[in-house]
Amino acid sequence: MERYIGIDIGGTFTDCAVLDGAGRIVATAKAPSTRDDPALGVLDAIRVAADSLETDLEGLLSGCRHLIHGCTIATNAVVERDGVATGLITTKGHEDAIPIGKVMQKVAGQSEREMIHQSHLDKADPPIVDRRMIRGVAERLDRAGDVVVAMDEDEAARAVEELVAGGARAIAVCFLWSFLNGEHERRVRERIARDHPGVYVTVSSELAPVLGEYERAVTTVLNAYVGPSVVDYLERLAAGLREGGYRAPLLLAHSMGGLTTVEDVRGKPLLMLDSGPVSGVLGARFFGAAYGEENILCADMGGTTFDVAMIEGGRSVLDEQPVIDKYAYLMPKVAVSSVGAGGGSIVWLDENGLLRVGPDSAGADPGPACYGRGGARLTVTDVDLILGFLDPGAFLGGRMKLDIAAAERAADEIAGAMGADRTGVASGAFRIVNAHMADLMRRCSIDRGRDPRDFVLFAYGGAAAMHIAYLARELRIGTVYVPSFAAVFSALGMMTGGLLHGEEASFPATFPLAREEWRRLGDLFAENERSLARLFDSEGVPEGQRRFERSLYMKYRLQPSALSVPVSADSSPDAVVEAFERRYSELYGANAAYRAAGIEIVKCRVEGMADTVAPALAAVDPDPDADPEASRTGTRRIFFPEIGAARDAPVHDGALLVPGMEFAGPLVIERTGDTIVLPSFARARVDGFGNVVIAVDPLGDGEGTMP
Amino acid sequence: MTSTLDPITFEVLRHRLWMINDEQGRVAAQVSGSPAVYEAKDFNTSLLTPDGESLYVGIYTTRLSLCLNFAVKTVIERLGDAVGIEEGDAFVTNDPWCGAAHMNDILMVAPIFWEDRLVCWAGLAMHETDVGGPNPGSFTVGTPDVFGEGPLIPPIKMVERGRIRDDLEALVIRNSRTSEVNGLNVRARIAAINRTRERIREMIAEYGTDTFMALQGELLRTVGASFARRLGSLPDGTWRAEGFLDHDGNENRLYRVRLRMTKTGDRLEFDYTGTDRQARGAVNCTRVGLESGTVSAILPMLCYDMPWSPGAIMPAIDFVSEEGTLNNATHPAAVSMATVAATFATSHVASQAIGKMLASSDLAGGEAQANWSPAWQGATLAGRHEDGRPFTAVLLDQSGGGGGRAWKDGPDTGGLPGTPAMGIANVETYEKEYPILYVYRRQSRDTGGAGRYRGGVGTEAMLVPHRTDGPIDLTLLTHGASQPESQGLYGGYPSSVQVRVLLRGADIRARFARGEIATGLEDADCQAVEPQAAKTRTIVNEDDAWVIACAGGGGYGDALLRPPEAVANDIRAGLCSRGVAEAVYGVVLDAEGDADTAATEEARQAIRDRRLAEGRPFAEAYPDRAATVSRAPRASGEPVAAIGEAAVVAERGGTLWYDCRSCRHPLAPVEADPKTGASVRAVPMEMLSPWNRFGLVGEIAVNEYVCPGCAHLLSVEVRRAGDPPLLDTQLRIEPDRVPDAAE
Repeated sequence: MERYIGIDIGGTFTDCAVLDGAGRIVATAKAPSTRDDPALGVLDAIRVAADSLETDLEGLLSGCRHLIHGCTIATNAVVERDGVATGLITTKGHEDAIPIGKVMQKVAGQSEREMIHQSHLDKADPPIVDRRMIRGVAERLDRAGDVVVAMDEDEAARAVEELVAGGARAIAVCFLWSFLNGEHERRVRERIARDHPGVYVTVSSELAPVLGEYERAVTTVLNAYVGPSVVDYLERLAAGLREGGYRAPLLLAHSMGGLTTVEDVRGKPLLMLDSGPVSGVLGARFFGAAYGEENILCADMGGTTFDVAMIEGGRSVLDEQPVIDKYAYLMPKVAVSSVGAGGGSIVWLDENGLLRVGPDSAGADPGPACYGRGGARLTVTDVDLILGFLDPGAFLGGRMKLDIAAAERAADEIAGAMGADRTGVASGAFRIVNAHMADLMRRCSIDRGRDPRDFVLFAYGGAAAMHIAYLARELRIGTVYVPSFAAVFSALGMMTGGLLHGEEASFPATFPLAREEWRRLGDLFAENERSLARLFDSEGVPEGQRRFERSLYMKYRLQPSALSVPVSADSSPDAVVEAFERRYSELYGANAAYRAAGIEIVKCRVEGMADTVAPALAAVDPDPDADPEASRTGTRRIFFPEIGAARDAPVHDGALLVPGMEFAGPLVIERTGDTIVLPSFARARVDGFGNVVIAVDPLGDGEGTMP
Repeated sequence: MTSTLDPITFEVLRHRLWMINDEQGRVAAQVSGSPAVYEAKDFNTSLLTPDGESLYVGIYTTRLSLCLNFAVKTVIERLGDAVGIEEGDAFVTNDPWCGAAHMNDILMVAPIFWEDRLVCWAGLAMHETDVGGPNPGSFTVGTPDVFGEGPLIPPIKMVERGRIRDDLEALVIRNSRTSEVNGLNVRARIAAINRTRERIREMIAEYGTDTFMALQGELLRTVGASFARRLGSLPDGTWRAEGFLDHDGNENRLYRVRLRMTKTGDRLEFDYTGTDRQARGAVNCTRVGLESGTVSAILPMLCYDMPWSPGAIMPAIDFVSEEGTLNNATHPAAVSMATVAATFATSHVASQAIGKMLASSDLAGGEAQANWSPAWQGATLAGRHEDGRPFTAVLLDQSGGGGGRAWKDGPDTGGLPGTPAMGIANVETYEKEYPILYVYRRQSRDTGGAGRYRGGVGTEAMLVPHRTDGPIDLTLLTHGASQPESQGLYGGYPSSVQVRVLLRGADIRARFARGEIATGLEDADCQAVEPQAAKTRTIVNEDDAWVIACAGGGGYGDALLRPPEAVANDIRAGLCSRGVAEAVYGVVLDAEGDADTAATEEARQAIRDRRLAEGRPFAEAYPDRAATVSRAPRASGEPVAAIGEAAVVAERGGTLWYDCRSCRHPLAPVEADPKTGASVRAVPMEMLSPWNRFGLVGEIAVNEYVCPGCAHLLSVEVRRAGDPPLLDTQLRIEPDRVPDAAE
């Protein structure tokens, strides 16, 4: 029997989803994540799924055409400083590039609130590479890539020996200007490979060949630092799967927003860093394509943060210089913006007597007051409970009882201090947290020169479905999709992705380009495509299924960041300049372009794509006569802020939804993983995938957009 | 609260407005073509009320925090009737008597209208690489007055009802050596303001004008209340701070900035009386620099947990200053270096005084921090590439360190104070644009002030011309090249001096050919080593090299209390030399490079003995300053307050006294300064850091004040030789506090 398996490792659970050859979801499963050896949790989750299919691990794996996996090994290694001891070999005189961190390291990735607290600014601590494990070697290139100082081979040899003697299991090599001439780096790499074949080596001119020694060194070190752990883990997992009968290559969801193979990750383990949010974005993009929606804001609201990613024109928006734990690095990654607004966010009164929400969070422990684990402070989850959106007896499918009295006590304390009533506090906090999330979404879309009204919303994560319709109205967005199988959405989402590989090369040039330069650029693109083609060969992807897309990164001379401009093999330089300027004025408005400064190319990039490896998810035909009342299980007293009063509202059971059902708010739909709140200004229907599509009337006095 | 604005709506809109101001800055930084903007963040943004009160100022360069409100007020006053203020207009100025901090900062402010009503202003101040005048980079060395500097542009309406006046834009960029970038930056300002205008109009469309106007009033009121509470939570008292600005661009002399800061209840007064008269050189700043400089210390040190709203805090602040002084200069004073000179020095002394107040605020002093680096180390270069193309560069490639804290070292190479988001560019970024080569750039040993918690070190770099055609015209400017200028806090030592050394006829290139790379000043053989005064303009030839080392932050508390292993680690990381470890920290290493415990204890005792042997009682050293006090009553009660690591305040015989925090030896009654009960000795400044040999040795005095009982270091001051002591701490503790002391 043909099967496709998606496995996502989360902090608490490892999730598994299984599709059949027709794209039907035949099983979903969860098993506790196993921190020490995550591969065990993966195999456990597959066993649970196999059980529900009345087979065993071998039975399921031997029929599995593709197994697609997302893991947090790389992220954990960096965040918990759990990578291997890593050495850095760099140009003598520039050993401190990482400790100096362009001075900016102390605020990289920080919120404004953290940045203004001057006495508490610090660089990454502990550093990713100990200063004593950084060795300078006499060698120097200049901006033309010419050798100014020939490499001191003896010194390079000594540096390698000292680092290995000092315990380095991985070595990063990053010399100044090596992206123009990688010869010195290559020689060091060859030496290490020859003398210490067990040491994991990364050289910057191959991993991130672009200008900027600080970020390039960080990228190289991060890659080396996580490399051995990621590779060990994947090999262990692959062996376990092979033993279980799995024959195909293991596929991995990576942070650029696609899938790849272990072969690719071996050299670029950094691809796995912070890849967690990617699966949800892939899922949203898949459904978006099915619905004909190209512009999507993906909203993931969990316990502590609200995360937003964007799909624009059907493509994930990438962050060219992401930051992890104050380190900026050069590996394009699906861009995710966060704000401290989640179910655990604390509601409080400031010194001026004003109601505030977050960014502090009660987390999972002690958690919201209603969890009854000793948390006494009001949180967003308590607010959701007080308003009636959550049923104290039906949380997590009834597995956890919520203590509403505790939530009310926490709210009353604030209400007393404020001179308001309990409901006023709850509905006020509800409005504030929604507004903060809306502000973040506005920023994300506006930063891309877009109006949020040009987007639809896609909501997942435990708390999102309760807030999303209100958020949509605040942003004047008409359509919201809440996917089915929320509990294993990531595992499902990654199965909708295709193979995606990227290859970049530095190409500093200024327009107008000489004919010769333009030709060289074409050759460089072709060379990158060939290199990706070799990777596809090794992965067994037939030529007919491969697609290549080229882009140039361009900017006005002297600007810090470049825009990506798509080009094709027969684009002319003029057309490229025009495309750049068009995109530029979209982003920054009229009057902002300034051609007199000159236009430059920074680098070129090729992406190689192959179609989805798993079958497209199957949809059933909605039943036009489906009766929504069939899913109704009762009524509950719920306070809808837009009505300003509590009323008995219908409660529906998500498990009883049938494609074709239509609903008009106000009501709630309770599902295993979350609760969908449908306010009075919204309507919803269940589509053929089982997803709930919400149409929001943006002004509260007309029709919403039901696609 | 007005009827149109409930507290929930206020919270919703307050947050949204903050995001709008932040977006102005993000857009500007993305569009701008100058590293001064996108790396050093030498710009700022503001949203202002229709009257020009600043609602929010961005988190970029706080030394520009009041520029935009001065500018809007000037525009309203001078052009309101004469030229008119209409929808779609934008006004530009770089005139330091109209709001700009110095000529390099071109300000753009724009009114925002809704249905014919002026509802607010938006604006940006942004540093330009060059705005003309005789000196590349426009920081003018050698001028006596403003007429020898880059041209002033009093406020003009450059954008008229949405249309750029090409003639006026040309005027704004014409005089610059870098008109391309300046042009791009004009567009950056316009792009940012366009965005803001759209966003504000969206907000009003949604909520109405009344709500939007009420929001502004409520914002000022609530932040004002938060600030009043912050001040109310701090002790009353008077703290003094002084700083020196060396070299006026013509003559290497020390100018003094003098501050007496008094906190009473929820008010804060900054009295700069006694600051030197304005200089005949470009180091002065105007009144806007005085106020912005002060606010740039207040925002990050006292408003670290509230929105940055200058309009809300200004009503609680009083300024006293004499016109015609260094930081309140009148036309035609030269001011082109203001932001890196008098404004920075003003911010620096204000930070010192606030640091002292915070160190006295409770027994933990958790927010107290010694001075960060005293000034930017600027370098502007002009010359030709090897193909003959001219270039002008301002290098923002160096930075200092953070001040020591009550609980932790200052961050190494942490940057400059009041500019949280600033960065320095990659070496490759500058080498790509300009014909120079960084032989090395690293964290600079011994540049941070020693202390129990030491100041963070600064950067150090050696540069050589590379692929030039002819010499480079180099201008270097900073202050603190003569004296260690980042002061330590209550027993912490000051930073090093700022160092700039030219190596004439150096063998750097010959070493390259031999496969060697110099990694320090001492590695180069050269014909002459020329230390440079604070402001210099010189010619650099192909065989020359120059080295810049930046002063770090001041230290916190007595260096003899620093754990010896922390000093050993600093030595391994190249942040502290063995010489300083032994002489200042009293730490001796063993053969493995670890601290030798016994030898260290011995060395530390020797230092304490010397402090006591060489120290003279305050009353003997400064008979005319000593308080006339009889002997201290015996028994001392529980401490009710602390002065950093130095002293505690405790009750003795019904009166309050300062006791040594280490041994509880009585120092002085609380009405006097704790220093008056100390022993004083001068230490050679070269002992604190080998870099200090490049300063004005002999003219600068570094004085230690120690407890006569146990030799605990209470305070270190940097003075001009012959200056009286700086009695800097005067707490006013209400008498009724005494009985509650035990609580």
